[in-house]
Amino acid sequence: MAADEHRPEREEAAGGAEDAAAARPRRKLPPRRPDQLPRGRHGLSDAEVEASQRTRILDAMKALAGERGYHDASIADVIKRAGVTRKAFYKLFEDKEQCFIQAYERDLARLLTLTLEAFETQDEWADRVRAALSALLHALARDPTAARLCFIEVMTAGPRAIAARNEAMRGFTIVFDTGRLEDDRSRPPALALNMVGGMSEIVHREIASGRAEDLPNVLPDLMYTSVLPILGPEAAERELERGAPGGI
Amino acid sequence: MPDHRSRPAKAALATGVSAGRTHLDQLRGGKHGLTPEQVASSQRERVLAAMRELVATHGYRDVSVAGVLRHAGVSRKTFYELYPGKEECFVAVYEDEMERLLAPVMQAFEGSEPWVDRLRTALGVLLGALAGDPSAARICFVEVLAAGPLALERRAQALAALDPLFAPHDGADERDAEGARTPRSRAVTAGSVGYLAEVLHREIAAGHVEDLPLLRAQLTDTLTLPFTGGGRDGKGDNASVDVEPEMTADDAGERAFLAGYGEIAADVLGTVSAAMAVEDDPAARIRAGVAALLDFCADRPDRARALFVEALSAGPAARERRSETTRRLADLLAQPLRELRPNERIADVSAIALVGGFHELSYTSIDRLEPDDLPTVDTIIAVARL
Repeated sequence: MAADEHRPEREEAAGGAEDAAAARPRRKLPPRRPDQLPRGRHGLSDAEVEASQRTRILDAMKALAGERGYHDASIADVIKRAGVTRKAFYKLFEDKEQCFIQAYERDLARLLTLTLEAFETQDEWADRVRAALSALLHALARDPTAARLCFIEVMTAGPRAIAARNEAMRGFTIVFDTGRLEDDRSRPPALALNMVGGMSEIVHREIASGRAEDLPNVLPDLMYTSVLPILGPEAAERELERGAPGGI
Repeated sequence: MPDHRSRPAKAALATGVSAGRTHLDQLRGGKHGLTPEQVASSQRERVLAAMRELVATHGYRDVSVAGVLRHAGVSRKTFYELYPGKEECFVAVYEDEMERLLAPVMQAFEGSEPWVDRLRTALGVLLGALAGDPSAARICFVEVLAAGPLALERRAQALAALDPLFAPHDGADERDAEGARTPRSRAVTAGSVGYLAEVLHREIAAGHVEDLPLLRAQLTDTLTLPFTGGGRDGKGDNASVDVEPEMTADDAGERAFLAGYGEIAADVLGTVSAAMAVEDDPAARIRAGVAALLDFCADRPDRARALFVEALSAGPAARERRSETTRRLADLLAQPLRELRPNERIADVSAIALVGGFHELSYTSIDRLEPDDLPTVDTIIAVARL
């Protein structure tokens, strides 16, 4: 391993052809992406190279699927944008769908984390939900590509992607399960997942209608929808009247 | 009749000529070397443009001839030389707008492709044109109904221009040996045009003009129904019509899928709305609708799977149809929710959440064709706290 580290062919991304080209300086090389690793000797380990390539591929998949849709994002486009070879792609991913799923899971995990972190910042349940949903909506508004990836394109990328989406969305039930502990026990246990499905559909429609950047405006709607089954209509209407801070 | 037509010409001249010019397209006062025809034509255009703008902004009822005169910069006398009254002027605007809207639609309908494809294209052009020109949409499908008997008569005539879209017999499809229209075919044509006009009226009046293009798939489905499967008893009439659902989808799988989709979607929507119709109390209607939806999934698992699961993987057109179906399910549930929620928007949001929750809780059992795992009605409507 250690001896290998100084071989110039280190980066798979550059691939055999590019390494050969590096040996012949007269051939014009394509410009390097800023996050692409330097050509030639760089002293990085296999794992570091792979991690860098994986990140670039997932970034490229996210950008292409988010901008033009999963079906119009070809592997050829992804590797071109990521600056890696086809061989490097297939070393890391089985196929396009698997690559997409990983890009999805990466963004969804990020969104879930910031949602739950915001949830932890408050004490009262309704305030916690408000903080959580507000953080999520603002994050989606800041990154409309992630919004498209996580709410629209994932539904179009095949059965495995939908299964991954259904599983990942369960992470958000924590936000609504807490409320259940504070209320009576007669409510069906599926309520939290039911609510996640409802919120997801509302968010989905906003994004599908091209309003991803205005998502914080639907915070009152989501708050009403969240609070109604747990704390009842009066509390729900109070949430509606609180409006969308930093929104409208 | 108002008496201002007999006003002295002097007063009219005073307003029309020596008053300051307020419009760039208004002609210069005094000598201008234009023929009377040129003057009349410029005045006519200004009057029509003013009527168009004012009706689109304020609605026909709130537009006065005085407002039109001011806006157009013409005298009352000039106006009444051009039109006997407000309604006639509006009708002229309406007819111009309809002609402008429908010409490209009928042009798009020409061609040798199967009738369903040409209809879909034509509807796409119409919906796109309306979405791109909300003023024309309002004038042609909303305001015209408020403008009086003459307007209604002209509306019927103008809409008849759409007849060829729904007359595959003597339109492009000349293969019918008889050539003559049967009473059934005439009724279907009239019904189709009426249906289209009614849907457009409701959507535009409700402020959804920009979303009209999303209705293309649904309108195409509904409007082809009488010619495809809806009229089995009259099959002899339509046997020659080439509406083998050769849809425009690129790939054969999606085409085959879409061929059956419209009927399944109509089935579920019909089942749900029929179940809701027998109840009066809003909460009972919602419960009945959700129960019917779940029963549909339990009794017809293959159809439910096609509707909610397979449509996601069958291609973009199929996904659009699926979204349309879930949107219409939400619309059905939103009606009774409007009686229970603080405002319409929240009613709509609650309905969307209900459908989203149904989807989230039912997807796996629908996908696996395991109806025993479907959630109960109570589980689903818990989010609505009825």
